[in-house]
Amino acid sequence: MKRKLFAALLTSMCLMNANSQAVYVDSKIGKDVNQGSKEAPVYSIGRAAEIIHCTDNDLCLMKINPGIYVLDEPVSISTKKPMEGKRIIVEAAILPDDPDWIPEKMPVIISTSKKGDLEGLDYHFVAALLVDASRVTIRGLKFPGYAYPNTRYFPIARFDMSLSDLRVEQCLFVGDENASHLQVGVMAHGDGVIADHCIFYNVRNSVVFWMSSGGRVKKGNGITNSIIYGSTQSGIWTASADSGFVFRNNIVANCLHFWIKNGNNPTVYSIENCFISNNRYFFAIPIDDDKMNTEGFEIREYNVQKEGVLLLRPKGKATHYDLPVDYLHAIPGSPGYELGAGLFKSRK
Amino acid sequence: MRNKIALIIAFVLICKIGSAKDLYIDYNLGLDSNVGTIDKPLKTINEALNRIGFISSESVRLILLPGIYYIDETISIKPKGQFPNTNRLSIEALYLPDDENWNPGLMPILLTAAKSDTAFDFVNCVGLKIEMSHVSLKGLKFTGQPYPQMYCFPIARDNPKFVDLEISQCMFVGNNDASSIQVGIIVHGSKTVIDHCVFYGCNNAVVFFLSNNGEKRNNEIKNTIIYNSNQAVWVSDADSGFVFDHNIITKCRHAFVKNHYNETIYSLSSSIITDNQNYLTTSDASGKLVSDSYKINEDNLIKEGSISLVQVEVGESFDKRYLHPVNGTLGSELGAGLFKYKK
Repeated sequence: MKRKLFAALLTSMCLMNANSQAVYVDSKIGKDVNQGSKEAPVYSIGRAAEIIHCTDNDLCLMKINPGIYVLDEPVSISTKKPMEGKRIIVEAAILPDDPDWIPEKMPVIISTSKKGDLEGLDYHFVAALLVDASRVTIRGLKFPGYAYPNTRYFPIARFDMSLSDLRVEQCLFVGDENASHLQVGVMAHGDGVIADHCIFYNVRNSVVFWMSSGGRVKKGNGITNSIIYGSTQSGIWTASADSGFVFRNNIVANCLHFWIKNGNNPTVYSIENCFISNNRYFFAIPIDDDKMNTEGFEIREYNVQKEGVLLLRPKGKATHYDLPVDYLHAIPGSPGYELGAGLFKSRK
Repeated sequence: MRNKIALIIAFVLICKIGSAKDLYIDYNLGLDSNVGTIDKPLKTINEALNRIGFISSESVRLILLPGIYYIDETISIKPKGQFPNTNRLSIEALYLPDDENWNPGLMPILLTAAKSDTAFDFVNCVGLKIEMSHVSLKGLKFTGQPYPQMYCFPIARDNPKFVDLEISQCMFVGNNDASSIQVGIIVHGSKTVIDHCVFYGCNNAVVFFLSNNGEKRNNEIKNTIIYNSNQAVWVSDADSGFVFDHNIITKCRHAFVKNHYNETIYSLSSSIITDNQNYLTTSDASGKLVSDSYKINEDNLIKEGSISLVQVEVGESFDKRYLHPVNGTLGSELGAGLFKYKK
């Protein structure tokens, strides 16, 4: 009898695990001792990432409720679970296309990591989410910058050159050179890095498609349906050579350089259906450090509009919880509006 | 005998001043179960405030090590226990701008993202809420809210009965979208002294707000740089003994704003007020801001020329003179900014 009861208990525990398909995070009501169910969410993204990492459950989906999330140290996105055919997904519980979404519902991820916590090749940097696995999606989150403005801060970073398939979707990166510095929105080595339906607003570089192992040509990277505005270094930076790179349906405006490509990268990139306007320089090749050769390189353009001034929806007067739903998107009548670039996969 | 008593009193007084209690706070490496020494620092300002009443009846310094202090709930600046209301509470950086090896990367940063509060009878987000007299804040840096539509006040005092607030060598850096600061310092009442501060990109830098009897006294703003604000200095109710000296106000929409019913004749001295859309402005009965030309006493004001500030460079080092006038250009000799001694 006792044994039967135990077996029943065990079955019910397994069932509960099977039923809860996501680990929920809530910085207002969550507790890290909780299991992470919808009713009893955990408090920190760090704890949720641990649950996804462990093999004592079968969860690989993190749902983050509205609120501000402070990361005292970088959080590794990875797992020891067998992942054949599956992805790790880190996403907002309410996504931009959901009917009850408003900008205030985006979870805000802030790093308060110690400055220079991570040692790079020749400088220190700070990261929030460290992607340490292939097949990862990060979706619907907002990333402001880092409070010490001389810091190289990367909200999303992938430093392992052998990894592939990272989708960053419907994320909003908002920086400012002095108050909230964002060096690179997505800093990633390797293959299959796609930024789709994102907004990069006043970040220094939006995405840096960095290196591959052994000087191999990178595959399947790209940016689509995104708005890049006011970058103080590059709209996009492709370091080593690429094949199958996609740059489609994007708006890039008011940046210092639209496209930076390393001098030893022979790839001829193609861009299609874009509005690229009012950038101080179109192309640049770094010579050393921040010095740039802006003479240009070959790029194939298909249906690229270059005239006109982009108008983004401003925040308006501060009147508490009423940001316009299309905040930081092209407003109707602005060139580029019809591209549908921005956070929404279907227009609001 | 009388001399002896005087001597003893003097001795006791000296001891008292000399033994001001220090508590150290390190957001990165501290623990709230620690004793609060420099080797065993606390983690949070709140825990330090909790301890004050129990450890000392003397003046107390809370000393912050470098790091980002995230404020998710308004910190009420008052000791929890018995703290004589003549004593001073100072919250200050371990490294101050005039220290030899100081650089802006050593400033503790208070990131105000508090849940909404109702100071001043409207909903907003306050970082440090000053709820006692005799408070000093030194060498700290404040940034703003990541929700850009919230009114964010890093420092607020909404009770005019408190006096004597000194804010020196602090930096306030805001941005409309990424780190919104509605007002850097908003204070009711008298005797708030703002000295050697820098305000960059705050919607309003300072509001000397209301009094409880029609007149505020002895408020001061001096040696301070205000850059890119909508309203730089706003005086609401009437003042007496107001000091405005050795300041730089530039690239603002309105440099000096007063309320329509405020009849004080203010004196502005030894300052550079240049490159602003409006110099003198009145907030009229409907709250609208209108350019005005009310009487003001001016002494040694520079109103022409343009200011250029040292900008940040990404890298391992950090220019000491970040957000100060470039050496050799207008304003660099005035002494406004974080340093009490010339750098």
